[in-house]
Amino acid sequence: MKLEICNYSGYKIYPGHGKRVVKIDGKVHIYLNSKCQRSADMRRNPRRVTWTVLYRRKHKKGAAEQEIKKRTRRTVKFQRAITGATWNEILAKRNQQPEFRKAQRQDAINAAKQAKKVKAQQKKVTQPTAVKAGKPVKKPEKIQKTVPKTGPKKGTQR
Amino acid sequence: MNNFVRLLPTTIDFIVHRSFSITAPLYDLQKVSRVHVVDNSKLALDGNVYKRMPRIIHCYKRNDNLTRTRLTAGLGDKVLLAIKGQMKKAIIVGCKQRVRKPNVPQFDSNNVVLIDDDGNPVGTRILAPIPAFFRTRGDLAKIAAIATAFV
Repeated sequence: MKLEICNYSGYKIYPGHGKRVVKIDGKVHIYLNSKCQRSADMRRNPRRVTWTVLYRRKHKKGAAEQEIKKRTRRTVKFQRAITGATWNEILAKRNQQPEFRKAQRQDAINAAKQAKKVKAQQKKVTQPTAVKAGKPVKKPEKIQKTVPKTGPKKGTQR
Repeated sequence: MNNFVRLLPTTIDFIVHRSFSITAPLYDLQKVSRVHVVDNSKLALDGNVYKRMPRIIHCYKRNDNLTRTRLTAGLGDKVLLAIKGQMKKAIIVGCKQRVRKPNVPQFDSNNVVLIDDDGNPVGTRILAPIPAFFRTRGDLAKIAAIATAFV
């Protein structure tokens, strides 16, 4: 059984009660009883009629309890792991000290520089005639000059 | 008007020791009842604007209790209308009279849908809501088929 709601008063209409009226414009109004119907016919605005739900809603009567209920609802932050890292790993990463991070960064930079050094020396061995723009590189055959064979300066190659 | 008439017995009661009963308005649909056609057929559109409102001139309802002159028709009954100088059959689709049956609504105007002699509706659409029991009654199924809204 479908419980209707009175168009005028806002009360529930149980089966066996109420009256349904179709106005000339085709709108259907459902009234709980003749009190509601007659008030509507008299063109009384339900928002001004004290006992209707519309009035109570407009003037916020009896809504204090509902507000208290609303305030206690709060979202709970839930910490959990992801498929790439367990919760402990995430925590460890989060709790790293800034000095530790800096030291790590420095190590990474040093390691990268070393790698570059090695790479450049390898290049020198395989391509001895390669000339860097603006920097004359001594060929290893011409060792008549006693110019020290200097490796690539630190910081020139980027 | 009705309120004034209802006052009469009480005011003149002590003068004339006779009270007369007054019934509430009945809203029965019978001969000469004016009616609103809710079709989208041409005859309906013209008939609603014509100098005279469409009227019932005969009710095809089997009613042994009432005399021939007092035949009344209600929701779902077939009637004969006079529209725009012509005679046309129609079915009552909305009634101002309050029917004390469950789930049957009361309308604010007496609505009617034109049909031909076979029972097929003349228009293609009905512009007002129709009571839901039209769907279940076999003889009203053709009207329910062209309806746009049910109540």
